[in-house]
Amino acid sequence: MNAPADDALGGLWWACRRDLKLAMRSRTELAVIVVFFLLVTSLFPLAVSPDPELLRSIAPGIAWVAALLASLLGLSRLFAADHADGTLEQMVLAPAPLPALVAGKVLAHWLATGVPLVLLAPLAGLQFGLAADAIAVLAASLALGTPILSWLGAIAAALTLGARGGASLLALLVLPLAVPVLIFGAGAVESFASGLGADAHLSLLGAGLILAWVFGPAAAALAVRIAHE
Amino acid sequence: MTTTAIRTGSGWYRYASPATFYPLAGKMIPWFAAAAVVLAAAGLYIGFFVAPTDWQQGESYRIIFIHVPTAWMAMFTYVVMAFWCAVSLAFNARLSAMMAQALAPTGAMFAFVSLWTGAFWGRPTWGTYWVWDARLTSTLVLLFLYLGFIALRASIDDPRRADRAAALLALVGVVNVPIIYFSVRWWNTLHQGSSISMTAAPKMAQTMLVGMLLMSLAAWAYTIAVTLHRVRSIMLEREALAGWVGEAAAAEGTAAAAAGGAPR
Amino acid sequence: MTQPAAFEGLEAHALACAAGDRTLFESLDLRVAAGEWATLVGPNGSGKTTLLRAIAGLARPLAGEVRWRGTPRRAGSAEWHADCLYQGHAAGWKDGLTARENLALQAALDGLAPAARELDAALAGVGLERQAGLPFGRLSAGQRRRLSLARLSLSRRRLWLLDEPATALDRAGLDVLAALIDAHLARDGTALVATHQGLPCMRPPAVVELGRAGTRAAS
Repeated sequence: MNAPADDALGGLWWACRRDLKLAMRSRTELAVIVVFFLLVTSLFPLAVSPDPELLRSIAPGIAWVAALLASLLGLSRLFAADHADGTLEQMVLAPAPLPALVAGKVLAHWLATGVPLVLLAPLAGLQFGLAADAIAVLAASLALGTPILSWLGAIAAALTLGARGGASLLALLVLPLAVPVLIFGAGAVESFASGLGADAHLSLLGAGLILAWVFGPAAAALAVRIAHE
Repeated sequence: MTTTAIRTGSGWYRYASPATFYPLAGKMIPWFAAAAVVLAAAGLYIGFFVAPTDWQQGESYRIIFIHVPTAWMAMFTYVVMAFWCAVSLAFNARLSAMMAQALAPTGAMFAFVSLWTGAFWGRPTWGTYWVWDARLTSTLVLLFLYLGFIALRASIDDPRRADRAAALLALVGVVNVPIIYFSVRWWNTLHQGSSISMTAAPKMAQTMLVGMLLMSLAAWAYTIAVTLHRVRSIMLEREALAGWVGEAAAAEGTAAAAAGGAPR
Repeated sequence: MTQPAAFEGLEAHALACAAGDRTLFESLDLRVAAGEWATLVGPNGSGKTTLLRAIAGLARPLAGEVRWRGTPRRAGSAEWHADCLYQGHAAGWKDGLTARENLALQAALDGLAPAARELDAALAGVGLERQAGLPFGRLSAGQRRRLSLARLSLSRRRLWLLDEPATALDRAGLDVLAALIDAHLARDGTALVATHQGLPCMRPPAVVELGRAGTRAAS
C-alpha cells in the first residue's frame, strides 16, 4: 500500500502522497484559495477604472499580486496542522531525511494551490483583455514563480510555528522576500507585451526556481527542527 | 552529543562569554560614542557649510549627507547582523545572537531615516515626496526585512528558540538582499520614463565625498556605541538568573555611584 | 587487547535541561540496559517530557551526553531515528484519515511495509478492528490511544521512549500496553516510559524520579 519511506526519494514521495490525500479530503479549503484569487482580480477594476487600455497594462501586476496573496492564504496550513497533532514531530524523528519529507509537503502544496492558480491565469487574463500569447506568458511566469513562493512560504511558515501573530506575521516575512519573484513574474508579461520578449525574465525565474529547490529543503528542515526545540 | 557550558577560555574566546564581555562592552561605549559625536560634527560641518552649493539643486541637496550614509549603514548593518546570526547558529553562541538582536533596531532606524531624508530631498527638488527609484525601493524592502526579524523575535516566547528562528530568517534575508536589489534596479531601469533618480546625485566634488565619508564613519561609530549599550541591557535581561549579573551590576554600580551616575 | 564490551542500552551522563528560563534538572545520570526498562516519575512540570525529548533529540540539553549502545548518539541521524521510537503527548495521527490509513502511513514512515493482513492483525490486536475504517477524528480518546499501541506492536525498534502512553487507556488497554512492553523487552529492547500509573508488566521497571528540587535518582 504505502512504500516504506526510508530514503530521500521514498520520503519525498511519502510526504507528497500523504499531503495530496489530505488536501483532497478538504477540497473546500482549496476552492477558497482559488475563489480568493478571482475575487482579488475582480476588485481592481472596481477600485481603479474599467478602462480596457488601463486594465490591459496593469493586468500582469494584478494577476501576480492576487496570486501572491492567494498563496499566502494556504501557507499557514502547510505545517501548522501537522505541528498541532504531532505528526510533524514524528517526521522530524523519522529515518527518512527531513529535507526530503519537507520537500514532499511543499511539492504537494504547490500541486494543490499553485497549479490551480496557473490554470486560472487565463481567466484573469481574459478579465483584463490580455492577448492570448500574453496570457501564455503569464501562465508560464506563474508556473515558474508559484513554486518559488511555495518555498519562501514554507521557510516562513516553519519559522512561525509556535509563534504568536499567525498569518499576519507570515505575510510580513514572506512578502519582502517575494519582491524579486513579483518583479520578474509580472515583468515577464509586460516585457512580452511591449515587444522585448520575456526570455530574460523567465530565465531568471527559472534560475530562482532552481535556487529555491536547492536551498529550500535544507532551510525549511532547519526551521522545522528549530520549531521543535 | 556533548554540549558543555561556556567555559572561560584564553585569548579572544574569553569574550564569547557574556560575563566577560559585559564589562568590556561597558568600557568601549564611551570611546565610540565620542568618536561618533566628533565625526558627525565634522561631517555635518562639511556637509552644511563647507561643501559648495550645487548649481542645479541648490541647498536642499545637502540632505544627502544624511540620506546616503544612512542607506549604506542600513545595508551594512544587515550584513553584520546576518554574520552574527550565522555565528550563533554555527557555534550555538548566545552572545552572537544577542548582538544580532541588538543590531536590528539600529539598522531599522537607519533604513527609516534614509527613507525620510529621501522624501525631504525629493520634495523641494522634484516636487514629490516619494520616488520609486532603485535605492529608495530597496531600502524600503530592507526596512520590511528588519521589521520581520524584530517581529519574529518578539513573537516567540522561548529566547533561545527566538534566537535560532530569527537567525535563520536573517540568513535567508541576507541571501535575498542582493537579489532584491538587483531585481529592483532592473525594474527601475526598465520603467525609466522620467530621469528622476536619487542615484543620479550631483557630481561629487571632493569636499562632498569627504563629508559623506565622515558621516558614514560617524554612523558606524554610533551604531557600535548604541549596539554595545543595547546588548548590555539584553544580557542583563536574559541572563538575569546567572550569578555574574548581580556582581557585574554591583561593581559598575559602585563605580558609577562614585562618579555620580546611576547604575544600569 | 580486547575492548571492554560496550554497554548495550541507553545512558545519559550529567544531563541538564531547561524549559524557557527555568532549569529543570542538572547532572542527571541514567542507565537502562537492553532487555530492561525504566519509568520516569515525578510531579507535573518536573521535566519528564523534556527529558524524553532531549534523549530523542528534539530538544537541546544545556549540558551532558546521551549514549546509545556504547557510542554517543547523534541526534538527527538516520541510524538513531531507526533505532529510537518516540511517542509524545501529541498522538501523532491525522484526524482526516481513517485509523487504518493512519497506521499504514506511520508504518511506512517508520520504514516498514506491512502487508494488509499485518495491518488488520495489528488493529485487531488493540481492539480497533471495527473502527479501522472510521475517520480518526470520530474515535474516542481511548480508541485514539490504542492506535499508538498498534504502532508499537508493528515496531521492531530497539529503544522506546514513551511519554504517558497509558493516558485514557482502560484496564484492557493497560494490559495490552504491558504485554507489548514485555514482548519488546524479551526481544532485548530498551524502554523509558514516563507514566503516572503502574503498568502490569512482568518485569519490574527501574524508577527514575524527577523532583521539584531538580534532582534525580539513578536507575
